[in-house]
Amino acid sequence: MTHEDDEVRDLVARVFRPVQRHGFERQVVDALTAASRGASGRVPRRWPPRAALAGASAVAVAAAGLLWPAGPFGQVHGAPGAAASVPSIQTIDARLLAAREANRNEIVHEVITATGGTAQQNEHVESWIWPASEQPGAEVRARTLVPGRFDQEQIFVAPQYLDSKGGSVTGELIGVDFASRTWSDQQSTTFTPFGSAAVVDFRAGIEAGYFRVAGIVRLDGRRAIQLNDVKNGQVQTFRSIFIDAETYLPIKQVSEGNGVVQEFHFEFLRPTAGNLAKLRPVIPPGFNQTAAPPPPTPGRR
Amino acid sequence: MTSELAPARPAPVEMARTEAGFEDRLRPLLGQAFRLAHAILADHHEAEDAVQEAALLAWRKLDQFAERGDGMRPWFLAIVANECRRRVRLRWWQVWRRSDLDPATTIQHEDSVIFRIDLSRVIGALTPDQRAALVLRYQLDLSQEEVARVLGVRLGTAKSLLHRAVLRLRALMNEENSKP
Repeated sequence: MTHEDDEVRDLVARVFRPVQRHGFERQVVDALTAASRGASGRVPRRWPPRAALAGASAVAVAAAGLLWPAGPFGQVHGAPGAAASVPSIQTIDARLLAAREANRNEIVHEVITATGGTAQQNEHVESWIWPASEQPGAEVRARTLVPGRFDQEQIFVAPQYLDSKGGSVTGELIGVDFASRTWSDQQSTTFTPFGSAAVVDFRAGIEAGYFRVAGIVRLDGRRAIQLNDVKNGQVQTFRSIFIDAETYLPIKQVSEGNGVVQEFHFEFLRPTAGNLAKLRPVIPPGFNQTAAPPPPTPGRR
Repeated sequence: MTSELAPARPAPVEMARTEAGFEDRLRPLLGQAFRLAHAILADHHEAEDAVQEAALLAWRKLDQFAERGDGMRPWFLAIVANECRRRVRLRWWQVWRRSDLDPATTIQHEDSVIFRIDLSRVIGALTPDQRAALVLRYQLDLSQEEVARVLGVRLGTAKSLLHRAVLRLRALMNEENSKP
């Protein structure tokens, strides 16, 4: 290694500093032990990685007795009486995936509220994203509404992965700006997708082992499984998540970071003409069309 | 198959066929695998998942390792890199959004020199392959040939990738350092 190499080595050491979780190596070895003993390669005290479960296909999941016939949204996915007792975290994870797969073409409607932060952080945000599970190469429509500030629909083709320049895509952007009372429709422009992966975020948290089942609660008139964060004393991205005890679709997530508490409320809508219309911003009467949205104002995302 | 160019098949390969032998040989590589996975995926949980999945894949592909007679480290790291890249392709949206929402991905160091540097921006401005190449070469001390093997590219491509990655990293760090 040259002096130049040493300099680069120092830079790399400063930038890439992952902290490996204590017990991680043991966990992998346990998984190997289970695999070598024919236990499907899964360590009992840790649930399978996302990709492994997804890759196992619905057949494998069904073989394990975890998948129910998919039905339209609102139909009970679980077997009769399945929600009578509190399921294990592994079962919850598998059923979440099954429910997500069964509803992947739905529209995800999210209402996000934040408290405890600055005025800008405490925004109320509403979004509609279709489809719920986007596929690279397929079209995505995502509307984000911040009442009184902006209302925007992004239409783009999901790329394989975002580029290195801040994660931008090219597509159509329809935006309403309330401050300037204008709206615009740019057919081909570059932007950063808003979207939200909060729906899958908490599956990642579950699979990482950061939740324990707190029990069954009543939430908005529905029976919901509450999971609580067990990462006491560490950075808490999540505090609680709530899953419909019958459909296994997410209802609510409470997250916390840097003193800001965010609540995500989820709703899955069938892609009917009426619901698809919700993806389009509503242009208030009297707003003027412009070629492009006005320059960002301070605090605007 | 053994050729004069290939190193003699090491005895540990046979040992690795046993559960204990495989684990013994794999365990010292897990930390390195995690570093590589974290560099590519920029996500702690995802990196753990990828390494665990790669370990299981390696166990199932052990015959391929024995036939090649290569060292276990580049062989296993190549499996890790492939698994990570597969995840990057599948999860482009989620990775972006999580980094936006998840305070756990906001990297903070107590080191006063770099505390003010937005390392997440630096990392995000490098491509996954650039990040992988940098970590393989300058943190895990792989040779350029090994970097090429792990990433599944020609040696010339690996050299070019490393060169561009270093230039980009320097430029980004200079930008960050020049911020008020």
